[in-house]
Amino acid sequence: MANAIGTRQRTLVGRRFRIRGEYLVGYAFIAPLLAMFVVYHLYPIIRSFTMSFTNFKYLQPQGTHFIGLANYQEAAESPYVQHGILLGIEYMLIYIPLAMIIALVIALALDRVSQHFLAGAYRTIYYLPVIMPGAVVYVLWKWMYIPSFGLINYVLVDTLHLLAIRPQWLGSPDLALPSVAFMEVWRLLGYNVLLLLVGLGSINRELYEAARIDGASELQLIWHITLPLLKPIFLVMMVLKMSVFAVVEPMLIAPGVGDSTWTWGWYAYDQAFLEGNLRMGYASAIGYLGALIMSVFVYFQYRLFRHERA
Amino acid sequence: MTRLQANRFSRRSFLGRTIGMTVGLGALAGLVACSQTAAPASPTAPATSGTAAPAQAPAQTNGAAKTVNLVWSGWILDQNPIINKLIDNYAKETGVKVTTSSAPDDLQQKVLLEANQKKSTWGGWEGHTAFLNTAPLVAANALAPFDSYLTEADKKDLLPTSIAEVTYKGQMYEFPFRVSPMTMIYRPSILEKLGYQQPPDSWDGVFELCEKAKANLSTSGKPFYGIVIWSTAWYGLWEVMETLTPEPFDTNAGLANMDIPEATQAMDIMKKLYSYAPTDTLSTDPTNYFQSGNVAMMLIYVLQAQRVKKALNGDVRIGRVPKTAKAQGTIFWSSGANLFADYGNVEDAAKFWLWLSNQKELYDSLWVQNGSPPNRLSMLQKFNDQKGKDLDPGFWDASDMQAHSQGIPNSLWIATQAKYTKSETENYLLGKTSSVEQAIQAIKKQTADEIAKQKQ
Amino acid sequence: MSSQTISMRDPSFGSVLRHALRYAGPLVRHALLLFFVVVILLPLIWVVASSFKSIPELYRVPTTLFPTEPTLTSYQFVLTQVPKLPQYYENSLVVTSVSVVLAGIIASLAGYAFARLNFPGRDQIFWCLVISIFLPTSITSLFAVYELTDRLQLLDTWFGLILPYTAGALIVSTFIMRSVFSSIPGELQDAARIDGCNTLEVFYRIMLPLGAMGIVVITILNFVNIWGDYLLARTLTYENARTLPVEISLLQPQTGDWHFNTVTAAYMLMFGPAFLVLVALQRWFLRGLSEGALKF
Repeated sequence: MANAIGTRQRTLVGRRFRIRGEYLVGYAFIAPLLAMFVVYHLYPIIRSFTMSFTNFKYLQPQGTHFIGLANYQEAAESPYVQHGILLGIEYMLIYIPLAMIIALVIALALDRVSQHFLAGAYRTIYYLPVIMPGAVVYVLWKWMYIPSFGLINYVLVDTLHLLAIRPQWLGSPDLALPSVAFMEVWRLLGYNVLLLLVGLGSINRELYEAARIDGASELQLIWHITLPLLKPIFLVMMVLKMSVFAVVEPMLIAPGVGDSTWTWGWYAYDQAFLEGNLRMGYASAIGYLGALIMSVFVYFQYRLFRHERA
Repeated sequence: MTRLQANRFSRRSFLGRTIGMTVGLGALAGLVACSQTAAPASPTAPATSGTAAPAQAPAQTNGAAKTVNLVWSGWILDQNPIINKLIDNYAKETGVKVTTSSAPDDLQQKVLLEANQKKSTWGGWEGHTAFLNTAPLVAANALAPFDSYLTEADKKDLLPTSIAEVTYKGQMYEFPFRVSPMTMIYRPSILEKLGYQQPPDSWDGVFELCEKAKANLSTSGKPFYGIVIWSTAWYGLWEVMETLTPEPFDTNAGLANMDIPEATQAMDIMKKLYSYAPTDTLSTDPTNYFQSGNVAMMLIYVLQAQRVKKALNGDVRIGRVPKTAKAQGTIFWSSGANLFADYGNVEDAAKFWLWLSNQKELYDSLWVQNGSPPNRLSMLQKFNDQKGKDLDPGFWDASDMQAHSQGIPNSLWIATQAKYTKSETENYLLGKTSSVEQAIQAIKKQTADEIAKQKQ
Repeated sequence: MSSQTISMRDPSFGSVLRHALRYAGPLVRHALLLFFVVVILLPLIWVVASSFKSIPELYRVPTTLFPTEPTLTSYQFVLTQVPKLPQYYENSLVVTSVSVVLAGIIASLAGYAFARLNFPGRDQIFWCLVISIFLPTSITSLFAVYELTDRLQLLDTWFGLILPYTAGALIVSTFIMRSVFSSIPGELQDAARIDGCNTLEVFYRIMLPLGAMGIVVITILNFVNIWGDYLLARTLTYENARTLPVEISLLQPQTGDWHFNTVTAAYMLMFGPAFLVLVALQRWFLRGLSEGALKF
């Protein structure tokens, strides 16, 4: 906290007025931000939290009253919510490793490309899906996953003959969720690569030079220098990606068969906006239950991270 | 730095400028956001101009010309420009100007929200489907009944099954324009190859056809399917139930009757049908398969026939669903017009709807060509001269089937039951549930549980 | 440490191997990168190609990547049969632009305040804001925002979307602007102060120009995010203020003529121009990012 300016100002005439004036300016500058924050971040959290303890139904607000933990109990016992949480975990376990490893491999390769123009071209191409609206990407993939004439099977089965049978992708209860996860991996590939490139770029080149002089091979360079130095960023990225546990959007647009993609996040949205009387009280309870579980995950990740750092 | 010194503000002018800037920005932003040419800022103003290209209505003028704002399910408007012509005719005849808006996908929700606030942007909606929309809207006091505007002639002009379909709590909340029955849509060329002129009229016959199709027409690279089905309750389980019993629905409870033996039979039939269908018929659009050309039949409502004709170069026909000695029916639903209670002049809306339902041009261009018959018997007769000519034989079958069927009840809980029927049907077909009894029980239990929760 | 026992012992073979490895490295590298280029580009090519297919060809099995008889019928359909297309465009443009501008202004002001101004509670407030990013409450807050928007009678209006979008974009934007402003040497500010500038003058005469890179970065970032947002747009609008991404996801094949060729044609028409513009701007954006806007 640099106080240089403040002290300088304080020595001038009208000291107390100056200080208050300066504080006022500071508050004035952050006033719009605070206003927006309170209205659209703070208030919704409080409101939805209190909502979760009532039987609030949006289309029938008349009979709303306090029901304590009944929503939470119902959510915890509901087979849909339980299944939804398992699906959320499954999604996380598929998406995060896949996304990170692929992005890492690409970033490592891209980092070493020496021609500036070529590297820029690669980066731009990888980044293309990121700037497409997510909804559009999901619609696209919904069509691509169609077993008979979709692109995926066309490439894998008809052209490359890598598979003998035509997988049903979104139509198969087992493949649906991984298909959705892969869709997201594809979409955010460029973004992940970019973040890792920034991280790789911060590693001092001289370390590589020194190691090369000592006769280290490329692989050893990666293993002993790059990866350890990349670890902080890598772990931060992984912690940030924990939020996919609450995934909603892809399965709204490209759902799988039956309940194979009914993650808890989707189910909460469904209960609040798509079903019957719009039971927002119950949906909020589902949301906070899931948030609680996610916090547990993040906490453990954080502990792991701390441990690694030390 | 002297330039800076010269340009200093005093504190007062600084505050003044800041406030001025904020106000200016706010005003600008407000101006931008509120100057929406297409949308009303609040739903209270009834005199809104339509957002679809066709009709632009003048603001409501008191006394001189009356205006009625009506909303139409989008695709009806898009494909039926005849509506604009008819609206002009009506204006000439009666002096009442009708404006058109295109319905958003969650129109139901919007209407419910408006009803909560005791207002309505529109006088009525064309595209209302009784079993899907009526009960929740009536519960929210959003609808006005048609009864007081109908003459005896009007009532006699509708089949008893049509009237029953749109009646809820003793009153008619929809005026049905056209019927969408479930049918067996088929490929005449394929059926001919297999030795059939039309779809079999029994389920066993259907299975036989599917077997033949699989045996004769499948090649190693390209499997051939006898049929594609949907898992949606009213396209799937309930439809099969309708072909087995004349009364698959319990109108008192407002639900499909899962206790009758036909429910179990229907589920068995679904399972057998599924074995002849591509496995992902449940998740992706089954018409994709049909349009790719390697399916013989599909169990779906009439309008889909028009949709798939292009991809198959016209080789598509509408046929009857199987029947038994006991039952010759099929699931059907009539789309029609309703009245929104909170709108100002509902009477004008009702009069227009009834007038419209008598205009042959309306049915000509869109619905009749696609096999969707009119509900008005007098209107149906007007197409008699086309029997055996242009109109698909399935057109007449559709109307006949509907006369022998039980409509889906209007109830607050039918949608809930439909949701669980779909998911449990899928679970059973996919093999996740091992026995039929379990599947039926699951439907009953989950429906009952959720109804209890909704009632809380 | 070295496991390359070959190189030292056998010069000729080793040098050949080393030569090969020197090229093999880049070869493997580029093969890998090109593979992923194909993975990324193939779906996009398929989209563009599908928009030129005719309906029978679309459904043919086995399918083709490129149409054998390209046709413009789907474009024709979208241009003539979707009367509301310009309106959706308008909605998306207005909502996105206003939100981005608002967010840019508010974030710059706030970022500067957090970086350079002094007032009690400054750091506490800032860390509160940062923590809110990590709270897993996006879904539940949506319910309350919906209710709020309805109460304010802003459902299905532009402002009803602009306000939440701006608020959502603000936290990260403020964070970025703060780090941008922190990196500007404090002496410049002191010098200006000595010459009698008050805070506002310092802000827009000195800080803004120097922080322009950051503003460009957050503008593009926010534009991309808000333009492509789905959940909020779908929940808070019905028909009047619907934005492009929601509309395209709702072009269901169930009714009318929406097959994949028309859907992709609609996509090309709806997003094509914006897409090209964004691609052109990518250089700027990536440069700005790597030049240190992301200082954690």
